[in-house]
Amino acid sequence: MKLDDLKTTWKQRQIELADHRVDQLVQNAASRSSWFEKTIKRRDLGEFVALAVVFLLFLPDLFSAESWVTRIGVMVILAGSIFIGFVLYWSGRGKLSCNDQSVMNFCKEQLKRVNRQIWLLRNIAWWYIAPLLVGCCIYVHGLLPGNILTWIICGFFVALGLFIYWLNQLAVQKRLIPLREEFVGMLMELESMGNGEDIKIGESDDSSETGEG
Amino acid sequence: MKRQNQESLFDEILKLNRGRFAGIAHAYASGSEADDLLQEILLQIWHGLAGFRQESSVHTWCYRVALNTAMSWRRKAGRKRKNLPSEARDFDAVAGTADGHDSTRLLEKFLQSLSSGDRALVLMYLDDLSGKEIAEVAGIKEGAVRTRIHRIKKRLEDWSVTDE
Repeated sequence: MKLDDLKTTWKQRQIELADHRVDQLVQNAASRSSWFEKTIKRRDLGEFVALAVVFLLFLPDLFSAESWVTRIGVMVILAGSIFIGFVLYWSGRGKLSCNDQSVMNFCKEQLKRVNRQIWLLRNIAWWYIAPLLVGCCIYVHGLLPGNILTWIICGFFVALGLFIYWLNQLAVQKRLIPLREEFVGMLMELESMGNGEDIKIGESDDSSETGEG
Repeated sequence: MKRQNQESLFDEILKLNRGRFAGIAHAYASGSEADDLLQEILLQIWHGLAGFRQESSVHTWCYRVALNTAMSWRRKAGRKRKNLPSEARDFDAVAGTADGHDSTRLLEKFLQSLSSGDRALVLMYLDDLSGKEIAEVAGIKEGAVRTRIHRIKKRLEDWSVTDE
């Protein structure tokens, strides 16, 4: 069986597959596009709303709290929230990727993206968990100084932080590492193609090897 | 790009490439997942058109988007089934199995036996893209495309003998 013999089969297969359902899927895609764009905007907006909520909740205590420990806690929480927002913005979250590059460049970009995600999740302890955890513990200590409940609440925060950290490491192992390996494999395959020697005249069995006339 | 222009260009692209997109989706996903992948390809085409700068032909541009979407689709786990109309779920019964079509079965089996990269090259070759166009889409040299296609041809000849 020669590859050129399958061209007709392939074209026939395309006709079989491209039935009226494609129209249905087109309608879904067009309506999803606006949904998609709205979702991204909502998500970006959601992060700002979360930041605004944190500020609204804690900012009053910055000026009205009796204890300076509480105020320090508030400052750490607010600074940490701003820092988290900055890191998320830097990581490119919410940016829509467009798949119109060459396959090679697309794989390179996807690999960079995955590596960035892996770095973020592996380091989530210091840029996400620690600022909020430390801030909340200081805040609670300021509110309930010398109270056994304070330690219980802080213990809960620490446990929560550890759980969030564990979840993210699991995501790295189960999802991101295999994804990175896949893209590395694809890139190696493409690069090995690119490094292959050009075919010599006379080796081909067909003068129209690449579909040209 | 204005919305109206985007819509008309999208319609034009779809008219010329609907079979191609469906074929690519079925080459990289099986059964009902192929519907999801096809929908994702269409979504990426639609989304990408907004920023299409016509630095390349629409034909190769579409191929890049479709292939990149398909190749990255396989590597995303835990996809949820999209909410498709009920008649859509009968799709597999109509076109998925290809019983009785030996060459179709052979083609599908052969495509499944290839790596993602080789599969992409073969799909473009079967669609009569020129070596230059294939190289542009893949991002490799034209000579490398020729070499690879030649090796895939040899592989098919050997493979179809052992498969019978």
